[in-house]
Amino acid sequence: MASLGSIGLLIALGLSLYSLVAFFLFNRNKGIKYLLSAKNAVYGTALLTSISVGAMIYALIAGDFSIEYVTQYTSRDLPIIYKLCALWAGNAGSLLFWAWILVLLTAIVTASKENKEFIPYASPIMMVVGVFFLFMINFVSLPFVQLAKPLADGTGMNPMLQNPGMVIHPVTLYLGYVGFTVPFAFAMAALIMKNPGDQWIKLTRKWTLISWLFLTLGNLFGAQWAYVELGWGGYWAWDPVENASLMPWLTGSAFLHSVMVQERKNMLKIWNMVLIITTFGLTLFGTFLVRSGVVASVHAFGSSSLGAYFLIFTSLMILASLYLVADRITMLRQGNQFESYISKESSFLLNNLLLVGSAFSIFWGTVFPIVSEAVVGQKIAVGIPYFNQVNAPIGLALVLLMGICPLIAWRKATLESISKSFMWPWIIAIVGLLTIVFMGGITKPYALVAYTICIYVIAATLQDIFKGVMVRKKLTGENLIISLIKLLSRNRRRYGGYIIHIGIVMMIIGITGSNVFNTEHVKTFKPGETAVVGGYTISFKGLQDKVRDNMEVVYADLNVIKNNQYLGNLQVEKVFYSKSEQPMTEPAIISTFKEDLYVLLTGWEKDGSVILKIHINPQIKWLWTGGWVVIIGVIFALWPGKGSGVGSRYIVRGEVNHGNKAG
Amino acid sequence: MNKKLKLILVISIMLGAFGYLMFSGFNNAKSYYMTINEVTASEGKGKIGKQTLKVSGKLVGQSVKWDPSKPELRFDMISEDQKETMPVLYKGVKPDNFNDGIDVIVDGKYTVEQVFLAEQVLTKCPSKYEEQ
Repeated sequence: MASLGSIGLLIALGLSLYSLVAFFLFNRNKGIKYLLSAKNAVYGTALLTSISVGAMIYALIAGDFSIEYVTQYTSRDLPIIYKLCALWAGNAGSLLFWAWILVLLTAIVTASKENKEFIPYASPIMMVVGVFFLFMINFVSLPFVQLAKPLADGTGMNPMLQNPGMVIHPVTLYLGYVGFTVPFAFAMAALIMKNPGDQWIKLTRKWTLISWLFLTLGNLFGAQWAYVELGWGGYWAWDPVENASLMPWLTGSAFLHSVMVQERKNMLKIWNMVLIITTFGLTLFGTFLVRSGVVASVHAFGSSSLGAYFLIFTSLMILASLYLVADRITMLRQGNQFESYISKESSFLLNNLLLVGSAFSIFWGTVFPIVSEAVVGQKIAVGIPYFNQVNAPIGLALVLLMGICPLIAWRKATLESISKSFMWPWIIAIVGLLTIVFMGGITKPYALVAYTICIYVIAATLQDIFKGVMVRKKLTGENLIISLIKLLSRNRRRYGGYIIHIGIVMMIIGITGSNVFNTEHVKTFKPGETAVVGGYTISFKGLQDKVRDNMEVVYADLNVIKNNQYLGNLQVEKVFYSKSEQPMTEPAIISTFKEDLYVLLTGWEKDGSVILKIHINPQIKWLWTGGWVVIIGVIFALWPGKGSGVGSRYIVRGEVNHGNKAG
Repeated sequence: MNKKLKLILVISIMLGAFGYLMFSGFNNAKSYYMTINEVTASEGKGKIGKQTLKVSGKLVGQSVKWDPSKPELRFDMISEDQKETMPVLYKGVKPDNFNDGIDVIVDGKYTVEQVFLAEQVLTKCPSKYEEQ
């Protein structure tokens, strides 16, 4: 298996290099045969990389302990699903996995029929990245290294990784990272072809949106995993590794919005190029951060020499792309100018500045230890308060924009029309504010501002849909329900965006509640004792132990009652994995939309009493649920067929009514 | 007011606000990386008690005193060269893998009583890969 895998990778590297040469020859007008040959080389690369991945998966599942990688990340008693996940558990394997997704995407793009003229340029650009990854797994971080003497068993997987999060988080994150290579490659192809219009944007919209979705999910699943596994009661710690995946998400979000301005108004071309280059660069930079060991992180890969290669490759790619932009700058400059400061395009620009500002602040905080050590020789870290203090206001401003931007017209809006369309949402928001102050008894200013903005955005969004329905009803004479369905399904791009916005607002509600109102209690329970903690009546029945799969479990058996209602039996565990000395504290969680009861078993004493740490985390469920709403929104916007296209460009002067102002 | 002036005004207000946020947030949250030797060497200079520090070292296994009922954790950290130790007090829960010799990173302040008052205790797993 090992030799099949490593030979496959070597041939894949050869073929990918060959495809670059063949594409080059075709672009030099040496004949169509080179294009066909180059394409076949791309397919061949994808096939051979797939064979190597297949060999690795086989070795992992069959337990071929003659391969070093298999011994490092699996063991005989590891459940089969985690044997599969071991593919991305280590450096070499995850690079192999990454390279595999990348060459598969390249093959799909190369084979697609709708963007023929871009392929001779876009495909080799993706292949350059592919060559880099194939080079890494052939010569720097080899997945198929064989041991001189096969071992009887492997060391097993880190217990923290044995969680459903391990199945889904790395996959979604990598798909998101790799996916952004597609719009980047098309942007560069457009520059090389001197075709700076919006064609590349239209061609890659689906790719961009799907990659963005995967990046969103990757971040969210990562946060959820940290929440249910790491046992500190939170889900986001502004750790360098978390920041590494958040930064491209922020610039990618900015890109998704600003390309709309280019499509509709033929402006911001240079900005869009810079954004996609930045986003692509950040996906590689993230990999550098995670694998180089330059920043201390609780969940980075161990330090390795990979970092230097990534840094050099990323820098070269960014410099080459920026050179290309500079070279074509006069071409990109042509286009429209802003006509008014109060217009949809200027609100999009504001949204972009906020997103990029946020990404910049996170970048600065993340690399500051490295910078300060290089400049003043003193390593200075920046803690969580910095990130919160900068990004909370930016986040709220962004949410506010979600309730403003969709409602104002392209080109030029008047203050009068704006105040008209904003009146009702603000009235509802103020009523909502008064309700939560007087009925809910909430007085913390940050929470009040956040909730008011969230209510406003939801009201504004619903109002806009309602207005559209009324206009449509009047024009067509359909009833309300049919009008609503037809309105939404015929402007899916616009309303898909609205659904995504609602999802993000739900996430903001969750983030606000869990950060502002969280409480924690530590309490010792004697066997049979019942106590009230944070409104929950918790009775401790006793300390038990059991054996499950490859681990021994010690758990406290609890019954939870709230408001005379039995909420369930909680088993708060400390898990001892057979391959690992250290126990894992597994939280037990009762989750509702109001709040999570999050209980940890921190220790026990000889008399059988236990010490429990109890977190009350309000509204966290909104965060995860918002993620599902975002998925629905993206699928709704992308579902093929009529209604997913872009709205018409502005050609004639004048206001377009709400019903078909597709955005 | 003409358009350009307005634009400059709006942009400078935004940049000012952003700069203020970055700067003030930064000053509230910065902490200095130090080794145990540096911390114990700078004792008595007065300055050190005010700054937030990030100190890494190895755990001395037999020094761990864990009182789960408070909760309160006391332990000693030893420097890489095994010469200096630093006592740490942490009012929190003992990490799972708190075994002798593991790498520990503590965040907090070094008090005049020559005890490090930790706000956060991080442990580094010995395993190769620790993505969350």
